[in-house]
Amino acid sequence: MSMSDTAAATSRFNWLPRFGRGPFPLYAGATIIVFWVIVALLTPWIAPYDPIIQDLTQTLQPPSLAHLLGTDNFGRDVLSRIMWSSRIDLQMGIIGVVFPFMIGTIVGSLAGYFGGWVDAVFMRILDVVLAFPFLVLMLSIISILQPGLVSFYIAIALVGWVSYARLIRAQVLVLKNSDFVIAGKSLGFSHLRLMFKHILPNSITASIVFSMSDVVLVVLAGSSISYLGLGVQPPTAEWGVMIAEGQNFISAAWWMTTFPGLALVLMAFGFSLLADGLGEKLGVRE
Amino acid sequence: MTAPMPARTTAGAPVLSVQDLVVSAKTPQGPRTIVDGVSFDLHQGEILGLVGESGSGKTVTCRALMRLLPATSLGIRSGSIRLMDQDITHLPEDRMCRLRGSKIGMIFQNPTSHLDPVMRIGEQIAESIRFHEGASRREAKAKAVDLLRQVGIPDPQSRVDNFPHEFSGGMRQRALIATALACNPGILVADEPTTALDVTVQAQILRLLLDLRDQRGLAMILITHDLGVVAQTCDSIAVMYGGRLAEIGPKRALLREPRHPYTARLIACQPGASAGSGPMPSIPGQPPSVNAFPSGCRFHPRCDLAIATCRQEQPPMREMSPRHLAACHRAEEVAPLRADADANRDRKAL
Repeated sequence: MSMSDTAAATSRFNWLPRFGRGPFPLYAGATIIVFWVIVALLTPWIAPYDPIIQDLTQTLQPPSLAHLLGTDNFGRDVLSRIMWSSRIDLQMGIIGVVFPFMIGTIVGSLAGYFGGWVDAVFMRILDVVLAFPFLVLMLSIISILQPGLVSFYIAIALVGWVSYARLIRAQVLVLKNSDFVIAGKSLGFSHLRLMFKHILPNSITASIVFSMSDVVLVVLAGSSISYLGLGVQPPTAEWGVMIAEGQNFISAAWWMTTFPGLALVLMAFGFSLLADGLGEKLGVRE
Repeated sequence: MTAPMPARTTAGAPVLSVQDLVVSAKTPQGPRTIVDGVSFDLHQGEILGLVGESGSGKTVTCRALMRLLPATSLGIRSGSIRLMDQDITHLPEDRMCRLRGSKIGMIFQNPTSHLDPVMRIGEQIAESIRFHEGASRREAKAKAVDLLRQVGIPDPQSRVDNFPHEFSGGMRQRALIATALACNPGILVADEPTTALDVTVQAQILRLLLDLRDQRGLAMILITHDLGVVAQTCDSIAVMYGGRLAEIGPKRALLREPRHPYTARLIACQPGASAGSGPMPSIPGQPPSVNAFPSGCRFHPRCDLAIATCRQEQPPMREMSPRHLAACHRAEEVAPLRADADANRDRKAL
């Protein structure tokens, strides 16, 4: 194969991230997440039972062939409820990270690049948010609004951006005086162009890695808040809700809490591995 | 425009004219003058070599020309910079942005750190074409390929999609030159473009700069501390010492008959100038610190010819021969020095 052939072949796939032979955690994590995404997408077709309709003749059944992971106190199939939950929990993880990520990135870039009073104002707001314990602040915002998923997303966007803002700001502070930014200035580029086309792509790596582990925290926060009754409302299936409902029956029906707990752990584990692998992969490239 | 400097024999008006440029730094102890009264003209197709040791103000002068001084710490205090027919000394930033890249370009010492590591080479070249000329993505990319060919990158069609880390050092400098020249600026400021490269690649890059000058009629300011580079490429030379111009003139006149003791010493320190073995000659003493410039002539503590006047009075720029100016009270007595080994026992490099 001649050199230009290879070049043509690579350039056709330019838009793909180039992972090549990535580290093991990256693939293990990606596999777990892909598994959950497939489950979430196919649930309406593959779930054996309806997650909400109660069958009071089948309450608290232990795992069996008919109900692989048993049934709960209303006779609902635990496996089906776990599968339906994955849709909610994945959505929570993604929306709960995307908005804080965007807000934090914009605030961090502006604060880091322009410095001065812009920096001072944003950093003081950040200090205020950080001064409160995370869950306390979340709970108070949600209770001011009204219990539910939308309130949860608003609360996490208002609270979660601070970590991203700090990460990005630190990187931008270093990069804004770097040589390629000066070279960009010598080509007459505007501040916004330098900020978003040159500095940001170079400073965002750490945030992307952090966002993967943040998904874990957000899902856990979502589950905790649902557990406290302020997030997803029964009868909707959500892992945190399921664990909360199962705790009264923990000695009689361990499967009601154990399996949703394991599902939560597995998804968290997947994102953690992905974060690790991405960190290693992107770190190596520097 | 008033021109204290005599008219050059080079035809036409200068493309860049710097008059009495003073740049000062803001420090807790008050302003410190970093660049003091630098004046020169640059004509189309001319290569001006700006020579001096580290800290002599070469880079600050050039950053000032580009109006790229960090606003929080350095500022132009007085003097004027005229680009083509426009005074850019206090031009607002948004208008200056339009001139940078399209009228005056800059290349740097370390091409590796001056290219954006996560952006494809072609996109970096195309970016300024799209920004300044509003070209479409496709046009800009075609132009980027063409530019890469002009700066001597083999197989530009496929190289255009490479990242900087896939290029060698010399190729990165070529790519950086391509980004600087993307919008056809008439002036190129080259801040030590060959210092980070090995000697063979250095020669190729200098050759490329000369070719580009011939093809495009580019005027160039070449900052360097290598007199060998200057001798190979430049038409005229400006020597800076302690933030001031020591001497400026056509290359031949300045190298054959230096009129400032510092220039004479510099030439004597070139490895080729001292024949045979023995320690390399050097100039005794230390370059002056910005915090404590000596009174009078800033070179006097290190100068063999220094007399009482040198300690008290700042020497004015005087024209010694056509277009050849030197700032020395005793310029007439400066003779080209031969390497004088025993006068320079310490081997402090420039």
